Amino acid sequence: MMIDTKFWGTMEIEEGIIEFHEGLPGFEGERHFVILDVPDNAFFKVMQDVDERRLAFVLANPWEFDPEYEMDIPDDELELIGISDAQSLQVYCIVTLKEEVLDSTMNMLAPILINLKDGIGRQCVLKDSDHNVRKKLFDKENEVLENACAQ
Amino acid sequence: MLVLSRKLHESVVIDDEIEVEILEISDGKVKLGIKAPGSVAIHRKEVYEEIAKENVTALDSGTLGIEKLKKINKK
Repeated sequence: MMIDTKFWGTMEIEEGIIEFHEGLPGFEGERHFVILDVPDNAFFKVMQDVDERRLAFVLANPWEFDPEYEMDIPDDELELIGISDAQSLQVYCIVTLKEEVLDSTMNMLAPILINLKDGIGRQCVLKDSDHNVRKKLFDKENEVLENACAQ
Repeated sequence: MLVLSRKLHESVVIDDEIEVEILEISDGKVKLGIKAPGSVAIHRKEVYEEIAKENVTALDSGTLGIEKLKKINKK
């Protein structure tokens, strides 16, 4: 099917639509998203609302930026997306871009959980309040910074 | 808003399936026990609102230019 995207105009997508039964906090009515690759950039993805062009979120794999990231996901959260084992779980954090892109942050308190096999997702608010809603992608001590900047 | 008074260990039942019990009262805090079907989402209000607010900020920030991401790529 053809969809309108926020960043790349109209695109053909054949599969991979993910259903969010509760939408997202702040966007509770939105039900269908698709994860798109960012051309020439392996660090980020875009989660595009299939029904509303202007709703597209930049996503990052949290472990690329914080290898120590630990999430304690209760079984009932996994059940809500139909997962019985963590192997079929894909996790992303929503990125907030800043004017100075190296100051960008990601929301590690409420990751996006996706059951790839069945195409179901949700944004899960972790109960461990130690996690940061605005965790800097690039810390001074973070090697990612050195490996990440394009020439 | 329905306003009810409950004493320690008393409950309210909502919609036959949701029960909220006062488990503990101390130090200006009330500990609530909530029984509900797994399909019912329950959040601390201020946390949920903060997530919603950050989602909106994140959404608007994407408009700043996904081209900015070109600066960040794996070597």
